[in-house]
Amino acid sequence: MEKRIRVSVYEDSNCLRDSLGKLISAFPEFELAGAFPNAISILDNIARNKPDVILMDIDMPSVSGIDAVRLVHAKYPEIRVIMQTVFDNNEKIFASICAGAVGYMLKKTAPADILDGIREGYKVGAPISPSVALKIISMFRHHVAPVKNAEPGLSDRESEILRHLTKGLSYKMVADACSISIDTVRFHIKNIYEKLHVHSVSEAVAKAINERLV
Amino acid sequence: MIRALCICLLLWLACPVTCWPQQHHLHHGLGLSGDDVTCLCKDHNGFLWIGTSQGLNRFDGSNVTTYFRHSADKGSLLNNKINGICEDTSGNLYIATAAGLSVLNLRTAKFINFRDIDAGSNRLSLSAGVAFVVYFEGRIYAGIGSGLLEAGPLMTGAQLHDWGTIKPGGQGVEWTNNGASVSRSGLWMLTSSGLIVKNNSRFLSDGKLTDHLQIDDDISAVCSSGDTQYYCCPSSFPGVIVYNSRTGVPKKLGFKELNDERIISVCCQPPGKIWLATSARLYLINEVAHTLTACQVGGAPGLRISQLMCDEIGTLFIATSSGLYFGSYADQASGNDTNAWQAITDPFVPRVAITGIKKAGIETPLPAVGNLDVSYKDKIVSFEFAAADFLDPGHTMYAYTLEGYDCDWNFCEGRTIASYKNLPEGDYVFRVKATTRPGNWNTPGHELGVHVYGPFWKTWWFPALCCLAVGVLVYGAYYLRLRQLIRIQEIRNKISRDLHDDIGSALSSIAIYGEVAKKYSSEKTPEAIPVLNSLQETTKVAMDNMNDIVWSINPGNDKFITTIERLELYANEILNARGIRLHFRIADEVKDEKLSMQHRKNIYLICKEAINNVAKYSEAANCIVEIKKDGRNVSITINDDGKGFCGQATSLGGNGINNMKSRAIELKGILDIFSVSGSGTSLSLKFLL
Repeated sequence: MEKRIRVSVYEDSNCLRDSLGKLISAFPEFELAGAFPNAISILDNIARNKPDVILMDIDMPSVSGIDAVRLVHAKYPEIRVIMQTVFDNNEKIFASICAGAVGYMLKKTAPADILDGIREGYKVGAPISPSVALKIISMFRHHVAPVKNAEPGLSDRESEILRHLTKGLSYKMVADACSISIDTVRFHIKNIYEKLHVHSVSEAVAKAINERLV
Repeated sequence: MIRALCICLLLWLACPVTCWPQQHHLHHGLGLSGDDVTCLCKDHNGFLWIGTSQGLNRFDGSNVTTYFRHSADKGSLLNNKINGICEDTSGNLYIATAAGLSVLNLRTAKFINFRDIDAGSNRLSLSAGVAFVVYFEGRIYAGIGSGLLEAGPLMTGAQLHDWGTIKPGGQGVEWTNNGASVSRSGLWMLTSSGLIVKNNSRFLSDGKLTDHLQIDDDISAVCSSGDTQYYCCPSSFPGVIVYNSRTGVPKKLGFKELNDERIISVCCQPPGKIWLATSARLYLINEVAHTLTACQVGGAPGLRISQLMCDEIGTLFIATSSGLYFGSYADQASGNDTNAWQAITDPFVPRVAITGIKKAGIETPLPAVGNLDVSYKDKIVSFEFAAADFLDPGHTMYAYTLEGYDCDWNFCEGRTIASYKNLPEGDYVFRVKATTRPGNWNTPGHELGVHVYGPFWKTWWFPALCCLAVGVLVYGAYYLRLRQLIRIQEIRNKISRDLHDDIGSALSSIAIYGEVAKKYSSEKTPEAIPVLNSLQETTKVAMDNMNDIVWSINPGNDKFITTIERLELYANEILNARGIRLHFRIADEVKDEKLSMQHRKNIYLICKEAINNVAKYSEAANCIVEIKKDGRNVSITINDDGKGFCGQATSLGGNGINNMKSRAIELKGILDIFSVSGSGTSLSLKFLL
C-alpha cells in the first residue's frame, strides 16, 4: 500500500478541528498525525508526529498561523503547510506564502476540494490566485530588484505565467496560452514559490512584509 | 440745590460819599443755609465757601450749594456750626466746626470727618469744637481746647502743641473763632489774651515783636498783604498799625472817629486801601491820603459784622449776622488813586469748574483722579459746571464740548448743564470754559476725561468668544457623532467577526461532516448520498451568502476597487470552471471611488447574479465586464456572446432577476437586460455615485 499522507491540523475552532480530523481519518490514503487548537508548541508536535502536510489556520490565538509557518519552514522546509482562512484576505495569504506556505484554502472550500488540496500540496505546489500573482510580480519588481545579483529573480517564463495568472486564467488556460503542458506550468509555479520563500527570508522582504503587507 | 438768585441792589443814599455803590446781598431767603455768616474762604476754582452757624455754602456769585449735617449720613458735614474754613493745595477744604473737623474733597464732594484724632500716643477729642483751621507752609493748623493741632494733608501725622508750649502760663486761654491769618512769614493767631505768632518753629506770644508792636497787646484783628505788610489793630490804638517787615518801619494810622471802637476785622487791598470793621460799622482807610470813610452795610438794624475779605480782583465780602454782603468798591474814586480803577477795568476772566455729574439722573461724585467711567447703561450723562463771578453775577457765558463726540463748542448762558444721551463706547474729553466778555475765554478752561464702556456684546472679545463657543459645540457634536459612528462600527466588526469565526466554522464543519457521512454511507445506504449532497450544497450557499454580508459590512472594503476585485475573483472562479473567458475592463477613475455599505452590497450582488446567470445559462465563450464613469454616473455592463434568450428577462431565472431589479431600485439605479436569441445577452446597470 502506498504511503499514507500524515496530516496535522492546527485550528482553534473546536468543531472545525474535529470535523477536519474526522474527514482526514475517513479516507485511507490520509492519516491524522495530530490536531491542535494552537501552534504554541508546534515544533515539539512536529518532532513527535512527523507530519507530511500541515493544515494551518491563519488566525489563531497566541502564535498566529503566519508565525507558525515561518517556524516550520525554517526547521522543516520539507513539510508542506497549507493555510486555511475564513477571510480571503490577500495580504495575509500573501504574507503566509512568503513565510513558506505552499498554498491556501478558504474554509468554505468544499470538503472534497480540501482533500484534493492536501494531495496537490503534498505532491507539487498550490494554486496562486490572480491577486496573489500580482503581488508576487510587484514584490519582485520593487523590493527584490536592488539585490538581484545576490538572489535569483524571476525568469521571463515565470513572469509570463504570473502575468497570465493575474488575469484570472486557470493553470490549464495558462498552459494553452504559453503552449506548454500543465505540468510545466506547475513546475514553474513551484519554482516561483521557492524563489519567493528564498526572498522572503531575506531582510528586505521581511521588512516589506512588516511594513507593507502584514 | 441750584437756585436762581436775585441780586439786591442797594444804593447807599445816607452816606455822603458813595464808597459802596454796588452792593449785593446774599441771605437765607436767597438760598444761604443761614443768615449768621461766620467765616469765608475762596477756593482755587474761585468759588466762595461761606460758613454759617447753620451750615456750609458754596457760592459762585449766582448760585448757592448748601451742605448740612445729616444725622443719618456719616459722610455728611460734622456739624452745622462753622467756625473756620481753609483749603490746602490738593483740593481739600478743611472746615472747623463746633463738633470737630470735616475735610471735604472738592472734586468728589465727599466729607471725611474727625471727631477725634491720634496725636502721637494720645487720642485727642475734637468734639468740643475747633476754633479755626488754617493752611500754612504745607501744614494744617487747627485751634482746639487743649492747644494747637498741627497735621499734614488730610490730617495725617497729627501732633499737639499744648498751651504750655505755645504760651507759657497761658492756662485758661481760648482761641478766637476764625481768628487766624496767614502770611508768608508767620501764622498769626488770636486768643482771648492776645496774639500768638508762629514763626518758623517758634511761638511768640510775649514781648516785643518790633519796636512798636507788643504782641502781648490786646490785638483784636490782623491781616497781611503780600509778604511784607501786616496790619494790626491793637485795642489800645484807635486805628491800624501797618508793619513792614522789610523796612522795619511801622506806620500808625489813627483816627479820632475810632476812639472807643473795637476793630474786629481788618482787610487790605493794596495799594493803599484798608477796610476796617467794628461789629456794627465798616470803614475804608485810604492809606496814602490818610483818610477814613465810614460806610454802612445793609439796612437791617442790629447787624453784626464778623469778617471782612477782599479778593484779588477788587471784590469785598462782608460776613454779617444778616447774610453776606459783597460787591465792587472800585467805583469809589478818590483823587489820585488810579490803581483801584485798574483792578476793575482789567478784563476779568472767571475760572470755571465742574461742580457735579449725573449719570442716568443720579448724582455721581467726580473721580478723585483720572477719567470718569460711564457705562452704556447710564444712557444719559450730564455735567454741571459753574464759574465764580462776584463782579457781575449772572452774566457769565459758558462754552463746553465733548471732544470725540461734539464737533464744535456749545455755548450757553444761565443754564450751566450739559447732557449727553447714549454715548457710544469710547474715550472722550469734556471741556468747559467761561467768560464774562465774549471773546475773552479762560482757555483752556476745565477738562475731564470720560470713558464710556459699551455693552459686553460690543467688545472685541465677545464675538471671538462666541466663535470659540460655536466651534467647541460644533467640534463636540462632531466628536460625539464620530464616537457614535466608531461605536457602531465596532459593533458591526464584532458581529462580522463572530459570524466568521463561529457560524462560518460551524457551517464548514457541517459540510465536512456531510462529506464524512457520504464516505461511510456510500456502500451501505447509497440513497443517502443525494440528501447529503443537498446538505453540502445548502451549507455552501449559506456560507457564500454569509461571506458576502460580512464582506460588505467590513469598512475596510469601502473602495470601489475592492468590490471589483471581489467580483473578478468570483467571476474567475465560476467562469473558468465553465471554460468562459472573462474580460474585465475597468475605468481607472472609478477605482478610488468610495462606496457605502448598501451600495457595495447591491452592486456586488447584482453583478454576482448576472455573472452567475452567464455561467449557468449562456454557454458563452466570452464574458465582458465593463465599468465606466461619467461625472457621477457609473455604468456597469455585463455582456456575453452566448445563446441569449427570447422574451421577457423575468421569465428566466425567476427570483434571481426580480432580486436584481429590487436591488437596482435600492440603488436608485436603472437595470436593463437585453437579449436576442443566438447573439448573447447584455445587462446594463446605471446609477449615481
